Amino acid sequence: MNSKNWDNAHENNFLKSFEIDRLWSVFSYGPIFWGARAISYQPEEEILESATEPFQLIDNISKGNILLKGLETSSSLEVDLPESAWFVDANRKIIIGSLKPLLSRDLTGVMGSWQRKLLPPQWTVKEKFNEVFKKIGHIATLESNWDSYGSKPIEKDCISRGISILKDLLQWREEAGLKITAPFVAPLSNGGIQFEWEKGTRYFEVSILPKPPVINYLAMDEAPEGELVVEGSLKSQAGLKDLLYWFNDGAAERLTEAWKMMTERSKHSQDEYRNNPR
Amino acid sequence: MNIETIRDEDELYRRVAELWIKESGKLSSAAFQNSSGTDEMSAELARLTTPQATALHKTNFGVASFLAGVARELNQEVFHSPVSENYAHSTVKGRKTGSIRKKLVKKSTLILLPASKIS
Repeated sequence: MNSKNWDNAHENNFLKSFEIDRLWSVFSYGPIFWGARAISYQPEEEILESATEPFQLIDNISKGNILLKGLETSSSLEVDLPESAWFVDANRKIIIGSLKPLLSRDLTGVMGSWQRKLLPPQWTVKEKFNEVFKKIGHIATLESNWDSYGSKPIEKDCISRGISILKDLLQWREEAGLKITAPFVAPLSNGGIQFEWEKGTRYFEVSILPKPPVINYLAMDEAPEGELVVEGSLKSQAGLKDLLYWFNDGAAERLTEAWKMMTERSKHSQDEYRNNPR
Repeated sequence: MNIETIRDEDELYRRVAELWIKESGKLSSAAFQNSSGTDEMSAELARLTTPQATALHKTNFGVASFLAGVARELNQEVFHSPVSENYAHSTVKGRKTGSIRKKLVKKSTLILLPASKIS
């Protein structure tokens, strides 16, 4: 990342891609810094030495507590920033955190963007995925009639296939750079489970059904000419990946492209996703 | 029991499990699935019941509302099908593909939230 290009758009995209609350800020540091962002003049060594506990690696962001010193105050005096959760991405030389200076010295006020609401540490992508795994664990314990309309307990096979898909997603995040977020997971009355993703006008859903054991998908998006809807049964792991790429960063037109690619692949695929997910 | 005529402008209630409601307050399309092994989904005719009664007076259920006409536009058959313990009971009959369920979500409103979803 060229720090000259680290502007607000990059910051917003970065925050979005990691689902970081927009109230958090991104700060550059170290030798690649170029610009006028607050605290960015901090030498890298000073930043890292001021860590108050070892950083814990979560996803590709490190999370830990760090004590920062800054100078952008109303009186230009040095001020300590509180110990709070910070996320440090050493590759990009950036820190993500919320700022709220301590006023324990002789300061009486601090200007501008330093006065931000201090938020509790948010999640990381892996933490979000862990929440989904936990919810699946709960869903697996549902008894008959959990929806009050005569629903069935969730089939163990659907649970297994759902977990397998989630593991695929995590693997693709690491190996293929597919920055897919953790899905919403819902039980289905017929004993299946469903994953859902929503991003702006885009919607993607995967339903893992028990009998017959198929995986259905639904992809929807708004295009200038109207609503695009693509739905069917997943035949392969590659098909799911194509749709997730579309969902993650594709324009509406790419949904049709993804569908064509997937249809083409399925012609050559002898194995249903359910039988040979890997 | 008398069978009521359900007009397009009639409102229908559907009881929804708390597991179908997202953190954002949006409803999952899982809420509009047919009963297992059938092509029918139960609902209640709003003018014959209340949201609380539809939720069985339990705090772990919410209630979604939608118009009968919306379901009919999605090729669903809608009719009053009272049962002994529930005169308002109605049926939304037809194949519910993912897109039909999602369109029902878009055209419905959560009018009663489960207690766990009220902030």
